[in-house]
Amino acid sequence: MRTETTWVENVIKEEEYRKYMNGGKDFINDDEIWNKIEKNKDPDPQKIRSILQKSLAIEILTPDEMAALLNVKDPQLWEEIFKVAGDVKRKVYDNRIVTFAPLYCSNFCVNNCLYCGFRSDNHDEKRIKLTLDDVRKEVEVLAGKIGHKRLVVVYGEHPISDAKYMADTIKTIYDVKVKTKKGIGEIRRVNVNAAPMSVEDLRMLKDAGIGTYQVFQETYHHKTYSQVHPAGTLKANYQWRIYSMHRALEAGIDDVAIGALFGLYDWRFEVMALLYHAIELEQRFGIGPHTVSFPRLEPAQNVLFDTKKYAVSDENFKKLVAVLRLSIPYTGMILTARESAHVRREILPIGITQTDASTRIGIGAYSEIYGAEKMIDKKDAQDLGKQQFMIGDPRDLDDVVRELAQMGYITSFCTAGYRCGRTGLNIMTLLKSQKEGQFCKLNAILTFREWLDDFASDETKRIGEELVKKEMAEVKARSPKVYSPAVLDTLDNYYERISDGERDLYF
Amino acid sequence: MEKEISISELEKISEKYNIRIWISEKFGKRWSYITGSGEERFLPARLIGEIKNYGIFVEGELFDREAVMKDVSHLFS
Repeated sequence: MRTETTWVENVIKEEEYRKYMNGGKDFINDDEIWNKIEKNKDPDPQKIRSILQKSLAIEILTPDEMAALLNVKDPQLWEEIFKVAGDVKRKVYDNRIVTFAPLYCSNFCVNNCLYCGFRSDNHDEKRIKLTLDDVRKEVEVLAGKIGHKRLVVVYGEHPISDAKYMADTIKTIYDVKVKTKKGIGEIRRVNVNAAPMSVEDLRMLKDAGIGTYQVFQETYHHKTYSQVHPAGTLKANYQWRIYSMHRALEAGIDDVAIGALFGLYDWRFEVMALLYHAIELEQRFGIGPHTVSFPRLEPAQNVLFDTKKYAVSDENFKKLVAVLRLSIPYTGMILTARESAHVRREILPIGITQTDASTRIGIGAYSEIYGAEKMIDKKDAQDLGKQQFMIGDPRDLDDVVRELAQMGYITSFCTAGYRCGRTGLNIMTLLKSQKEGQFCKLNAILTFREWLDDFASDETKRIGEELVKKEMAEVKARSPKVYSPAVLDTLDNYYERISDGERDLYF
Repeated sequence: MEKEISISELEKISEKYNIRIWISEKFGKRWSYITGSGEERFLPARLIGEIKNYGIFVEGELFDREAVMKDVSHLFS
């Protein structure tokens, strides 16, 4: 206990965030946000359409422009907004959807957030920390049976899951190789969702080869933040959290991800604050958020928070996703299995770039469920005593890949960017100039081929083959304007070699 | 590092060999971008050499790898 107290006392380094503040204030001005929402009421439709054109030019919007979009009332104008949001996504990322899985490594937590199942006062939660051997078993299932190539690893904030443990788990994950039908299964990118850390700890994660570092502010509204994160806990420090990405960039982690937990406060305020966060990162470092997440608050065990007051309806959820897509047009946007299959189908076309599947958030759940000799019914396989909240879409990756293919989207398992220096300023430039999508298309085809051969059911493979033909034809149609003959030759060569069992060839 | 490597010097190498060239720093599997020059060609990135913890990546069709490395190594000295 004394060790835990000592650890907690030493986590926050005030000097690492105070230097970024202006006159003792952070970059979220609550009054200013509400004033802008108020000031931009009843926007002229022509003004909205000119804002949409700006988004289509892949330019970040101003807070006033975002506020104008948020104030649109006309349903027909909203339909235009949804359409353009989808167009912007395709312009930047083409029709690919990157897929990943979360891996919860530990649910020990020193915090007591009123809305969270991991809160320290929830004594019904079974506290588990995966050993490195447990991590290995989980990854053998994720990479060897399901076919994921990208993970986001999640940890509670606690001395037993400190930066050293995180770095060890990252290295362990990268080391796992599993024989598959035609090749080798492995995790090629490990993203991290964890508590705010010091620059020194972040450097440890960087040295371990972290993909993206993700910290959600939960709520950007200062008063609400104080109410839901009890005083005296680590998480009560708003500024330590909001400057997490500043420290990550300072530590050299140049793919950073932001997000808010929708349902804690007014959704319009939160989307405005996410834009302010993106602008702050761009102005300070020249690098905006690699991804933005917008999870909605879900039921959890023994929480002390009224989840109805600021609950975001499906209709407003769709609006907030579209407005975020248009306001930060270059960023990746993540829609998770928190949402039901129905909601995911509805939201995906308006700008989503990443989603998860075969998702299990119980600690050790992948090897328990997919590793069991007799398959467990996945609908009944959620144990609130071992997970942070309830997920809404427990479908298998195979089902999701097949559905995406039927909707015209290619599932991409691409992890090429951060393994060849397409990070930070480089990827930001490629995204803003709409060049990254050209890489996405090529790498989606190659990684989809790998997955079809190694993991797809017969039905998914049949549908997937048709999609691959269509994608190949589209690539050829873009030559020579976009792709040179050398690119086409290389694609054909890589495709053939992958079909023969070679793995991990990429542009 | 960014201050040490001159972008204009990389531009010269990029133009001389008709390649896109960039330098990244290695951290485990991650190669973090430092700086680079040249037009995007959508060709596979080739790691043509490493100097200390830095990797030299090139996109290009026909170029003399050794000559490029020789020119780049001057930038590190």
